[in-house]
Amino acid sequence: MFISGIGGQGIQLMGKVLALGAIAENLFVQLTGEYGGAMRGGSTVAAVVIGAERLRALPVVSEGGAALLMHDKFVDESVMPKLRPGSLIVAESSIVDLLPDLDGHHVIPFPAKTIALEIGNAQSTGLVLLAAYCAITGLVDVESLVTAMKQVVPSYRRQHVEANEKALRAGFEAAPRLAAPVSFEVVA
Amino acid sequence: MALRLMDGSQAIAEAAIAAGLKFYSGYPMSPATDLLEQMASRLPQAGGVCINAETEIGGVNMALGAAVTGFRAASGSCGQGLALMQEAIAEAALNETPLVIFNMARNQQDYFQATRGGGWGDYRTITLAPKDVPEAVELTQLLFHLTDKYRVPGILLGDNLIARTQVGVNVAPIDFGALPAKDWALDGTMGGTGKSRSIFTFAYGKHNEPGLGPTYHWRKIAEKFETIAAEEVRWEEGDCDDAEIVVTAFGTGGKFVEFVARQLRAEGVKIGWFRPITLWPFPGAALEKATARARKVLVFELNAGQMIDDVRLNVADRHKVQAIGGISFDASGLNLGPYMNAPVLRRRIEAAIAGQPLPDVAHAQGEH
Repeated sequence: MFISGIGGQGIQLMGKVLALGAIAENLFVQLTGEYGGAMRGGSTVAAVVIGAERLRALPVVSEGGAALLMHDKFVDESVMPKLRPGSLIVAESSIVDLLPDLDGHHVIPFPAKTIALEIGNAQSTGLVLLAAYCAITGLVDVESLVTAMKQVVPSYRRQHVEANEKALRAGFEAAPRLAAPVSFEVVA
Repeated sequence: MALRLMDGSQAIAEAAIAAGLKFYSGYPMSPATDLLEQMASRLPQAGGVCINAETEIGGVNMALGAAVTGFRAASGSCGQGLALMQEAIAEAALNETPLVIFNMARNQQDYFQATRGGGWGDYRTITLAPKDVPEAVELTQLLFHLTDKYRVPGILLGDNLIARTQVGVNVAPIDFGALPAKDWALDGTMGGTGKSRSIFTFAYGKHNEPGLGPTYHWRKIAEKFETIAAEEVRWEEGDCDDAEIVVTAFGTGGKFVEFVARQLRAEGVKIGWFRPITLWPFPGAALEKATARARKVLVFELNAGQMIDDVRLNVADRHKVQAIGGISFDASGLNLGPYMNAPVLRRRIEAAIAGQPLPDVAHAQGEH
């Protein structure tokens, strides 16, 4: 699956939290990031491959079955052409109308930004959306996400741990649980 | 078996430490910098020393000095840095010092540099090219074993994708069997104990203690490399028995080739894949056998054509051999380019099978 947005939204953090959360649940994981030279507003994609068995995934992920979208910019090139028909797209509600090429996919808009603002931390929108995706798919439990987030946040950003945890729990709670349960595909 | 999420640089550092690495000295250069950073943070915790040297030349020679004392030592950089290290690598080969060098290369243009070497004298360099992070963990440990076993330098040839892809891996020490005692090592005792050793490239001896002399010293070194070539060949292959098309590639490229070949095989194409794990010694006899019935032998490498020389040397009919790779960088120049992508590779294989011109993809120009 692909997590996509623009530089500064915490896309790579979302990828890392998901990967560590999945590892904690004894799943096999590959995480690769595609982003330019540390530029705010630039294209940033995290490709996360998760499986129940040892992965055969390539480190350049050319195809996927799910996307978690934080911004409409760049996705026409970086994500949409790589999605198989019938992919699950969980997108921040405010950008859904701007997204290209949604035909044939299962799109679930989620008001992550609104929830993040309600709990008083707009910066945590990405984590709200990530937790919602995990609730919708049943991929990783919220407790594993919280543990993973604590591993990722560096010591000099400890003050954000509490707000991040709140964001993960709020997103997980508000999402339609198992609306699109995950199934691992077996590649030949 | 608990897996830990690590990028390749971290996993290789952990594997080296599991193998008993005690000294690392390198010089930063992307994408090899991550490995140096990992060594800097982890080696001291494991009772070792990591030095960010003033140059690649300083770094590799410090590692050579450390290795002479019998400790496992390594240096590393990317291709350009390896070029600067060639003299020390040759010296390690000729004075019989185990030395591990990590080349986290920017592309696949270092095949010649690794397998032919740039130093002087009759020597070769064991070169292991992992296809992914879990294999890098295994081959890193194997390389320390082989370099100790034969008292030679060895190179682990990786790339940006191996250095930076994060996967769940388990790094556990691997037992490759017993090794001869390092009775040649300098142990710091000088004059009187009789344990000090002079390690000297030329075993020319002295008047009262004649050595092997130049001819027999160099013959002994050459015989050792012949032994390695005979006994340490490693490769991986699949579906070659009835294959009309065999595709070869090394390192990360081998993983992509295997993936696409399996896809095509599932669709009924009689295709096989062959990946040298040791680039030197090159698995020539195995490749000859694997390609015996093939109509075409395709070589996928992201360079202007380097491994293809070894393929042509070993495939019975060299006219069957065709390059399907090419130079392909990303816009930064630090990473493999758009050819290293399954759909692109697939189109190139299909075109080669059909005898059509290879389709290209757009490469970014002038971006920074």
